[in-house]
Amino acid sequence: MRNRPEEKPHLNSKPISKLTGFGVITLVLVLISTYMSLVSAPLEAIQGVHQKIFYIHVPLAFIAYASITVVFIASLLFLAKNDSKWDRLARISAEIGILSTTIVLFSGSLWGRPVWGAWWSWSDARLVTTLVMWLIYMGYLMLRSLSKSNSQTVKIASVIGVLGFINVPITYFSVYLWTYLHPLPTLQSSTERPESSILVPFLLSFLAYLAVILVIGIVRTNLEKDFDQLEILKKQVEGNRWE
Amino acid sequence: MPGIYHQVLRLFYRELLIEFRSKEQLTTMFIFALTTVIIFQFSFEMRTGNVKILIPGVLWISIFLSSILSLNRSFSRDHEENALIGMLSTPLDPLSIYISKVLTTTFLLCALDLILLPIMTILLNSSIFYTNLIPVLILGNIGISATGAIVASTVANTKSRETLLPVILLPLLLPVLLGCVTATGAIIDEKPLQQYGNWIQIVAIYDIIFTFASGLMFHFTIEN
Repeated sequence: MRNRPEEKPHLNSKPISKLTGFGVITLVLVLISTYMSLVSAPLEAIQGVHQKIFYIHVPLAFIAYASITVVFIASLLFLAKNDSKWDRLARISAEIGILSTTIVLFSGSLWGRPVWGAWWSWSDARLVTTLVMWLIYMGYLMLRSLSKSNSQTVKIASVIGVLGFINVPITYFSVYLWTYLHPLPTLQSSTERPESSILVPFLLSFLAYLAVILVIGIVRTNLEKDFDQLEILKKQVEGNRWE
Repeated sequence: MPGIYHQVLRLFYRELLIEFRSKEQLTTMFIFALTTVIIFQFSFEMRTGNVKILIPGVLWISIFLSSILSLNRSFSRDHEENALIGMLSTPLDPLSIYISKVLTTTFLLCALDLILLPIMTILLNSSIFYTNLIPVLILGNIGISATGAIVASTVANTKSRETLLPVILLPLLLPVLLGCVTATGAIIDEKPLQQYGNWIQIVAIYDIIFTFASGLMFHFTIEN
């Protein structure tokens, strides 16, 4: 990570920053939750060892949907208030959303193979909606990376950020209706309540992955701020050159 | 300054006049759609033997892909020749530009349907003329145009607009594709309205939501 020029002299005087401390706590949380979910949590009666994917798949699915919701809210706020901090939040949340959705899709596929007997099921509305959501927000990030970074790009990206979110429930509902034409997955719904021996490692995994995502988010935000700072400095240098 | 209704009519007339003079969009769309139908026919006929089951998919894929050509052309032309800057230098409401683009694209897609349906009937040897298909075609075309107009306007400013438009637009249009393909299939199979009425409702709801949301946000895409 690069540092802002004015922060350079202070860097060595603070060897352990707040972020490093939070990073260490996150690492400990990840190790404990991994141990609990893989070793101490009991094997599920029907799915056996395959059910362990649940501890990474479900927390990240929550995070993925939450990130996309943040993209929507931040994009709306940016369009309303024209404050670049909302745009930064939207961009970072979209990246986090894409990262977690990718892991969710892959882990879901790995889980589906032994349990449903298929890597992929077109008859599950959640699966198809998640894939479509992934495609939309990949388009959103492509739009941002393939166009010049200016105020117009930021506005048009925010418009796509809002439209993409509006599309999610409509896609879910239409795929859900479409599934009436197709056989449902074998283990789609379970009405059993999870026991505490499963619930505790699950909640801990959720906290751990949330912390990982927060660390990534903070690092990414600092990087974006540095880029903004760099742009300002570049403009100053250009200005001085002309004077 | 005339009211928004007159602004829309003038802009719609302008778009049709450009198209009437150049005949650029409709010709490209038709040739492209025809090529798509032929490619699908060659790709799938030997495997299925029953072409009738392919009709809904082939019809809507042809319409979807052709719409991308039309939308790209419609917006990039305005940018290339600075027509948009000219329009924005007048006290026009940006909403009227959006509505006129939606109307023009819907009109062109409906014209494409009128040419494409008889051609498909001949090439695929099965009749696809059903009265119930008309609302499905109109609603589907409105959905494509409403979302397509705002996405095309969004990417028109970027260098890689030709690649970005389908990448962003097609996933957003999935509910329309699902609804229209399923409803068209049910109509061709002569099923009762109850079996596909839900799909027409979904496409109609999609049209209303996306037209409203896009209309509200369109001015952001043409500012600066």
